[in-house]
Amino acid sequence: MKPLAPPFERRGAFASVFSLRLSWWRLDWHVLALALALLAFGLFVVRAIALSDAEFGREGVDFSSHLKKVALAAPMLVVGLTLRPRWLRRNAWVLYAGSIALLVLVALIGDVRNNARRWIELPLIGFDLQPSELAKLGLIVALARVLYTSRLERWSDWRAPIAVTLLPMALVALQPDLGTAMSMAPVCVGMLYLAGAAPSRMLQIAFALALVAVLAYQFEWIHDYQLQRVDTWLESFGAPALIEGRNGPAFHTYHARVAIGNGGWWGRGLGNGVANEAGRLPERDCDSIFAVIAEEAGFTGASGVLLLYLLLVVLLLASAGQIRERFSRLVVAGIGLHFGAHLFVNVGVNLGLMPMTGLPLPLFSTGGSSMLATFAALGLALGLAAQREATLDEDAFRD
Amino acid sequence: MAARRIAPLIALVALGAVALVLRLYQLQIHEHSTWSAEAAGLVRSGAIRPYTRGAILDRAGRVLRSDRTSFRLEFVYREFRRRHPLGIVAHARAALRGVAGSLEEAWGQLEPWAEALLALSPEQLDAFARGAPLEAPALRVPACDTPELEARPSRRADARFYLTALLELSREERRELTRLARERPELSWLELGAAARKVTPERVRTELFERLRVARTDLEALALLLASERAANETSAAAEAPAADSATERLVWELDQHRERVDDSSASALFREAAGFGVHRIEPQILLEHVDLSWVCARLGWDLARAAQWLEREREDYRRLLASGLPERLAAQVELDARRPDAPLLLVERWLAPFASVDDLADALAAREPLQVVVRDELSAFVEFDERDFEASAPRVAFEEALGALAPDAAFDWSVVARLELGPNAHSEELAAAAREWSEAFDGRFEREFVRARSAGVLARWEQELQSAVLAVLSASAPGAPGEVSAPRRWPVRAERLEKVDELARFVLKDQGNRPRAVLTRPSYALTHLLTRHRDRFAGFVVADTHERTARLGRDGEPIARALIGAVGAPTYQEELAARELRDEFRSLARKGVRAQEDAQELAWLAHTLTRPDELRGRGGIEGYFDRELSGRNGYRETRGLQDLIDGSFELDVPPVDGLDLTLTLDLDLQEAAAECLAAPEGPPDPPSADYAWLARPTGAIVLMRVDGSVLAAASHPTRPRGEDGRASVADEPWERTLRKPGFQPPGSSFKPFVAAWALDQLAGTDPRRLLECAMLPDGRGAGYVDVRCNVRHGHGAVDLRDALKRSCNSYFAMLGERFETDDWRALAAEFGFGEPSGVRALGRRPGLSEDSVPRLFERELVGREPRLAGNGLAVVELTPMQLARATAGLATGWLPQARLVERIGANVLEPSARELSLSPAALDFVREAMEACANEAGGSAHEALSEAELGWRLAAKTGSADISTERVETADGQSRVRKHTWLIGYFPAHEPRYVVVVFCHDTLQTASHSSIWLARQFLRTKAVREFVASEAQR
Repeated sequence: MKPLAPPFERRGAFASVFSLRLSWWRLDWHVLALALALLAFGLFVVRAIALSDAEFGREGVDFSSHLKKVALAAPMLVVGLTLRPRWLRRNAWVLYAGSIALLVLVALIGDVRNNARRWIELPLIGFDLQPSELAKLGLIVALARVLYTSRLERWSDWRAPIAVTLLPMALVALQPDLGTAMSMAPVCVGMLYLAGAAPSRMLQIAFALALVAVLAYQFEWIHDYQLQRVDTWLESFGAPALIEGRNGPAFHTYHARVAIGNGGWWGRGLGNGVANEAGRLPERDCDSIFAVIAEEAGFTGASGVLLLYLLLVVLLLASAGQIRERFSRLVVAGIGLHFGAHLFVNVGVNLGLMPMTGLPLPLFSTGGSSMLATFAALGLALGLAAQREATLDEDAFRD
Repeated sequence: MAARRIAPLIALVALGAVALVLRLYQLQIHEHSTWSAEAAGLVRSGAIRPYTRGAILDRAGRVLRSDRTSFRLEFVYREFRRRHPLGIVAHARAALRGVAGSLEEAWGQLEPWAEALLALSPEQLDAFARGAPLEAPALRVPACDTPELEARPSRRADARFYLTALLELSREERRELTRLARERPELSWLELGAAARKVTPERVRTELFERLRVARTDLEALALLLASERAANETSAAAEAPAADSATERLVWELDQHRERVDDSSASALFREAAGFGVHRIEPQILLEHVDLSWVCARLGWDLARAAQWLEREREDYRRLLASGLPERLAAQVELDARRPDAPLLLVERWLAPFASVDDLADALAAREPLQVVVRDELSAFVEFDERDFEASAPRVAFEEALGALAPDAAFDWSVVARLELGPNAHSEELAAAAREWSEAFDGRFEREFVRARSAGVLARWEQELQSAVLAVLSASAPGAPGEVSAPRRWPVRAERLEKVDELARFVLKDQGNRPRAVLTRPSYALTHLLTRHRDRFAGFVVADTHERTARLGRDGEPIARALIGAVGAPTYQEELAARELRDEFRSLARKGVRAQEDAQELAWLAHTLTRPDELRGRGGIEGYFDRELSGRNGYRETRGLQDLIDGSFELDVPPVDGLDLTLTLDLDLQEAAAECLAAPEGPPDPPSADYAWLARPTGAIVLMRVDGSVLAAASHPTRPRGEDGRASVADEPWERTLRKPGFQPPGSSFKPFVAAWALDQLAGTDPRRLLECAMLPDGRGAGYVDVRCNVRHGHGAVDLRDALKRSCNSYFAMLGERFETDDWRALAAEFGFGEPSGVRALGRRPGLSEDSVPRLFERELVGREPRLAGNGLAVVELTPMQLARATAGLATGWLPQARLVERIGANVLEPSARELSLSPAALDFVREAMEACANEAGGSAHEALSEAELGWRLAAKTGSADISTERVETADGQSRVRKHTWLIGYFPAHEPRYVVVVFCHDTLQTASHSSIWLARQFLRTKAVREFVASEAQR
């Protein structure tokens, strides 16, 4: 059953996109406060990294540049907050098409770094755009749009969501950026589940995915370096093997593990960890920022950050649970899962629970595109939850 | 529905979080000690703090030897190729052509090539990367169908780097250029550079040419400076250079050599990665014919000829190692264990080491299986290689026997070693003889040279067998389609190995290119200044700090007292071996993450105990003998991260302890004066009586000593080896002749005063007034006594003891000697310290400061004419100048001193010591008076040159001439003479003895009256001696 069209008066172009009469009392202030607290802590960590780089004369992290990116990305929070759910739903395909277009564009004109074509140079805004970060958000919105009208009751209902999911994943994987592509999978799986997919089918799909992963590894369908990462992960799970192979492919894993293990109960203090002092941990301001946090804040601090982050994810999911309108609920839940997926992949990689892959930790990691997507996602989640548009969607009568 | 579905999702997320926290707990708490240890190791950096070796000073505190900081000019090829215009142009072109280009060629075409390169556009390079041809002035690269295989994309990236580097842009300008290159790919690099800098292309071009001109001028100036300094230092570093027209050409040739070495080392590292063994292990010809090397050539831009050159160089180094270095090291290692009962086993193990890995050895021993040679295992790196093929033809015989010999329970005897050495076909007699020789080499004194030479033979034979086996396997089963007779039958390397090579290639090139290579030691101030002040103009040339031991040079440019003070040198291989265990322990402690207090103490102790590999140790002379005192103890400093360095705080700081300074008794001026007199002796004023040959090529020694034994000067000549014209003999070797006795060295008549003193006091019935008729012998061939000829043809007539001493009458002392029993001789020697060390080796038995003390003097019974010859200091008597100086001091004072060269070690004074002679003062006075007469009375053998009128003070002296051969040689005055050593011993002032002088002329044709006394006169009349004596007299 399709939702009824609202019998409201016609709005102007701007007002049809943005709602400035937001019900502020409905805003999940605790979610926003928690996110801003995590962001603030992240800023302290990045500042400590930048200071240590400056102190040791390394060409590394520039804190002011990070601040600039935060400032540039912050308006996206407002954009997300004020975006009308209905407009978003109606234009979900436009956003999706835009993100796919950017992914195609990056394949054509993108800048090649480290043998991957992932960035579009934007000298005017001070950072390079990584379309895959925006594609994650585009995917969430588009998938929510598909699932808005589909309850996945028949196998044929699966075609559209799977196609919508696989297209950006394939484009991102071709860059190549398998880590980012794979990070989309749990978000999509979670959204499918929330959309009403039968658990038995979910299990079948999960089994199929696992089988594909094993076959891909076994028959070497993936790049050599990706195979090597899996091998390295399998070989260096334990401490002695990792120490043994520290100067080989396990270099990154080793330094992340050393930093984390060095933290102990209480940590080494901000800016005093080996990761900052030695400066050998690659991507310590981005993909490996959790290793820096774990080392400098110790088990207590890192667990605290983990639990707060987890709380953010749970609150977002809970907030989604409160929304009666199906599309908004799926988008907010998708965003919660997006944060959750990044948390698990990023932290899991740093802890050695997964093969090495580069994925930022939203709100902590530097990176303009990631920051842009994070603020937009957060704004969207908060805005959609706050606006709670009236709906006659059948889901509104369940519960 | 929503809540129903959300709740399990939240539960799943929570479960995941629990897993993360648990893992976090495992790493941070459970494994904390492991990781914190690793972390500590990552930020900790330790450095040995070298001590300063003690200086060696003369008695007045003037420095004779000291440590000082020096410089060394090094060349870092990576810096050169990335930052020097010549390197940039050569490598940009090489990258595009895919062929290693020479710097020499680039030097000749620097400007046109640079211009042609900058005329290229990003568009052209992109097309090149896709396989299109590249057409540019003086640069043509044909099209290719497989751009990836030819690594064109990475070659394009390299070329882009070099082209940008050639423009010398700032960071912002480089960014701008990158942006512009994307927007306007049709523009040339020159135009892009101009646009990035916002100037006209013409200006960029003009500036480029100016930079190239400056680069040329700088390199030419550097080449000239290097050439002149090498000529001054007599360095032969670039001796292999082909004939070059100019210094610049020579330098560019040298740089090309460095480039080739970098390429060679890189290729070797890549080959090892691909094949698993060093390229030197197989003969070049075998590799070229049977192994695919195209992958090396492709990666380094080589053709097969260049690859062959690389293989030959590497193999040649290994051949040299196998022939000399390895056997040398092996013998040194075995010597350390020579007394162990399992020494033969250790010997065989070391023979096997180059042919089998340690693991192979252990496995083979455990399983009692044939030993595998290293190369067999690793041939599996080649595609389709079947190990069984190798089994059939592997050099098994020798190795299987070796295995039997190594079996833990095998009864080991030397015949096993012999069998291994001579092979299975040796006859039993040969085997028995060889076994005996091996046994003897290890039984008594270890015969290192024997072990070295014979081991070299074994290694050479086994290596030959190995090559034959490898060749047999590779040629018998090389891959290739059946029937493809003309197809190349070369073993390709496995693809996965090549992938590894590709992963490593850049790192290897970077690593090898970054290794500094020595260009010049001790560059001049001008050169150092030039290179350090203008580093940007001499990219690749680095002046590095180093330490060296410097010697004070005399006016002749030679180090003062070179042989006596000795030299320093790097640790020997044996010292290295001895230190290895401690060094390993030190390294493991330094790497240890978390250290207990005892570990830190142990580390500090080890730092103090260990010798650095670059540490200079005394090698001979005073440097060697007092090495323990001169050497200090190294320190160690450990910082935790860069912050410690910035703060100046250290986690562990063991300060070095500098070596102690040695203050010698030598006086710099007197030493130099003695050395100069020896180097340029004036000889007697009466021309016919001089030995001009000796004067032109003098060999001898001078000792000036205080009567308390303190040596003021101890000079020898020659100080450098002579004999470059093929006349080398013992006289041409730079011996320290004041302490050594390189050949037969009798003192002649200078021994007579000691004989006289002993006879007067100890020989009953000695009457000094008794006359002896020194007359013609019955054979009419000269005067003499029985069978000892006197030095005056017609004899001295009737002489008493005083006359005999004064005029050095051989007949009288032959008569006197005849009365000595052997015990008398021994007692005489003991009384005057003959046949015993002079005392300069004050700290007992140690290496260095070698001295010939002639310990067997008068050991056997003197028979026949020997007592008569001994009375004249001939035939059976041998002494060193230092022994004579010491004995003369005893004669002069009645107290026999210990000679001493060192006055103080640090603050500790080495007091002089002496023992009183047992001879009566009357006997000594008698001899002293006669010696005074010898120099001061007419007819005295030293009178002509050493009278008070000549010297200004009264000297008591005695001359000595001792024949060392029966061969007669005609001299300039037409006389036929025999070769002899001549001496002069004396002390002064005669009535208040303070100094002793001994002059020794080695191998001259004239007697002392025509040689040594004139040398003594020359020395004693030098300004240095006069001033010294005068200043001491005033005190």
